[in-house]
Amino acid sequence: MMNVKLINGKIITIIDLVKMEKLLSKRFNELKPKIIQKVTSIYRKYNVPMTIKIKDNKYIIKAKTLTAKYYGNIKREILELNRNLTIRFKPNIRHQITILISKKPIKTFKIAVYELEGLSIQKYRVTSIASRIIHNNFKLKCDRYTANTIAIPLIGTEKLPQQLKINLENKELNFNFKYVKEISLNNKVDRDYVKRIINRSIKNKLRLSGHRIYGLKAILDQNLIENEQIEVKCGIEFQTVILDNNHVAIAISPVHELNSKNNLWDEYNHDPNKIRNDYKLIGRRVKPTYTPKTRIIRRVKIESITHPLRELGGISLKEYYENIGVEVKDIDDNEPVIELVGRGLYYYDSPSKLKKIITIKDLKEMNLLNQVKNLIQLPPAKWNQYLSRYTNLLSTLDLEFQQINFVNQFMEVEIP
Amino acid sequence: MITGRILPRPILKFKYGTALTPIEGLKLNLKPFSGPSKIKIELLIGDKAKSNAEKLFENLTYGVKGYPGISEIFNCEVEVTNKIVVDENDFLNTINEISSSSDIVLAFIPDEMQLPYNLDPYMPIKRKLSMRGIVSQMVNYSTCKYLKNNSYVLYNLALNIYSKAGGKPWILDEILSSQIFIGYDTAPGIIVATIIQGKPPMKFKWDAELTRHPEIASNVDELIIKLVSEFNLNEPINSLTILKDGRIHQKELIKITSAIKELTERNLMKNDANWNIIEVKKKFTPRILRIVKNLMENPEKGTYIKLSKYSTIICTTGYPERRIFLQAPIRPIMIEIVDSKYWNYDLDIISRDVYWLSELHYASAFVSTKLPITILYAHRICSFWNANVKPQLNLKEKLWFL
Repeated sequence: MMNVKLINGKIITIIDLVKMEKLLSKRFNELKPKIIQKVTSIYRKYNVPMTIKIKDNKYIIKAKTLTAKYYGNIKREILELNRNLTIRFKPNIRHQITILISKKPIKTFKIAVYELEGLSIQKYRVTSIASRIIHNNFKLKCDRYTANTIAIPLIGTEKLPQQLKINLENKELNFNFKYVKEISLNNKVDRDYVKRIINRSIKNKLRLSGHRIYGLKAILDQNLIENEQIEVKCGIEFQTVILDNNHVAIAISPVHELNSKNNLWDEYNHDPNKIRNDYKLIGRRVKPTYTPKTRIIRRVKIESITHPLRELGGISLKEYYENIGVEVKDIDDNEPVIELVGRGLYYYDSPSKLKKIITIKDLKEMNLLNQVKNLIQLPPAKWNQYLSRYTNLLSTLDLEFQQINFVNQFMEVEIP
Repeated sequence: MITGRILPRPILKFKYGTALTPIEGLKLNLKPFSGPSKIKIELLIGDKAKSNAEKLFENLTYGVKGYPGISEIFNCEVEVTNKIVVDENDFLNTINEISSSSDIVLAFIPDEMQLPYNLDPYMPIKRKLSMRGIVSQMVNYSTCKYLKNNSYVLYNLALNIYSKAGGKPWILDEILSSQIFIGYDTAPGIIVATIIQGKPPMKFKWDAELTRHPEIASNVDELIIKLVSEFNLNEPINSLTILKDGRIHQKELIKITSAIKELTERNLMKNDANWNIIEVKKKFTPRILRIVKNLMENPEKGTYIKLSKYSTIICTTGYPERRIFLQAPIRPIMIEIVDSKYWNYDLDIISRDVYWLSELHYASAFVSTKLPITILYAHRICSFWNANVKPQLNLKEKLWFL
């Protein structure tokens, strides 16, 4: 309805009366002078003298002097006026936010805080892994609280041990009881702890329904495409959000994963020399099977995975895998070590633990580009339908010490 | 409980006027806010792309239909100080021939993956030139071949060259709520922080510190103090906003607050100065869908939803630049206030400032970036640093990483 231009240094606003009448319908005659007055008042606000002309059912408001200095200011105000009128008289724009909100506020609860004894490096990583081990070994719902503490939510009747002992990466770790405190969602540390507890509960639920979890991403273990070279899988990414009044929400969005079906060892028919001699592998993006981090192949080393490597502190790659808990029973001892680079750091992997990242070029060569695009580029209209199974799945979360029920549809937000 | 609104678009200030988008300001010939009157360019051209590269450079300088040429847009003279045509396998040996008297080296190089990884000249050129304090701009062979007459590409290339050579094409017309914004990001072994003024001329600087802590920015305090003390402010800071890409760990928070305390003690910050510490999250954030007559579209740029008294989500990209979903709806960013001096902040204003800072990215005249430049630039420098691109001190006020 309104258009603002800068021609020869002069601001010109064109108001289309036909469009205005269509928008305002019965209130056109009443509101037209007020709108024109509002537009002219915007010019006046910036001391811009103007002339007003009516031509071909259009109001043309033209600055008399060079006014490029205020062009941005005047245009912004007039476009905002235009938008406000459109929203008011044509209320067909709605906004939906992809979060599920808890029906009731979460009840505040107490936690028992345990502090890690000793250890000065990588505390965040250690306390996170330790929480998982404690959860599995002691059947206690537990998560990291601060860098060197973990916390257990209390139901009220449990008897708390004074110390929790676990074994992690061949080291004994002791967590000593420090204190009990009540969670306050006004405190950032507590808010983050509650998010972690809820995220863990979401992960468990998704795991039980056939998803693999990578951080805050859950991928359904089901291939969407019949093909020998690639696999396409779908899932969601999620995040817990703490709202005001102790309500919580889960944000979810669809994600898709496109991977090579075979690992490099199978792809090169278990021939180490074939891998070493293929220069096209250098620079290729790959993804290890045990982590979602993308890496680039730097070179294929002459050593096999059983040879001690200086880069790994004198142990072989196979031993290194065992140390970090990566499954080694399916690895062939003849596999060569591949040197990779990711975010500036060097990594070492065996071909059977690496899958190529499929590029558009690969898909074109396989004649699968359109088929894959249709699978992973979800049309907007299908978003709600796609996410509906997750809104149902996550509508109730049992945290053991309390249950959270979520409204199982996305929220509409009024944006004036 | 959850409320939303649309934040006002930033007004961009050029030398002779203001506009709402960069491309509008440039097309209206409003001229850049500030910058050099002459840019000395050195050309490094792979022999296989010689004629296409020369044609592209001619178009870049003198213009094509829909693009008037770099001199006309930015009001500056372009001087080619040297032209080196090189065998494409020999880029690295030729770098030493480049003199350091030019403002920027424009290198026409093979596309990514065209050469074996160890011969790909992109990173080695960046690395070697930045160590000598020389800024570079790469152009791929395929861009030379297929897009040499494309006004969209030429506008963006000209913008990059001008900005890397020290130009400031536009700034914000309105003053932000904080006098100073600092953004930081970490990567293994390094912390990078950037600083920008919240009012004209919006001076910018970055710096980096090595760190041995693999998980957190353990010496972020030292970096903040160094950056502020070398920023040459005329008066002590009266308001400061610190932003981090991602989660701020408790220990980092302690370091940041101790840095603020030290800045006050050193008289670099006023005793009663207001400060806010903010996390900016770009991953796993909720999406906002705009439904128009039952059709879903991207939300309007600036759409903002207040989730709680601590956090909001903001669409720093969106309609009209990106109206329909290409792959998925645009991903808003989420901000969360982690700490504050007075806790009397206005979330609307903080969100607006974060949104407006995302409009200062000089890599494209057509679409803005998702993150505010304070943390986007820290993030980019971290990525380059990880790839061993460690520039000279003279580049600390230049946008070599665009």
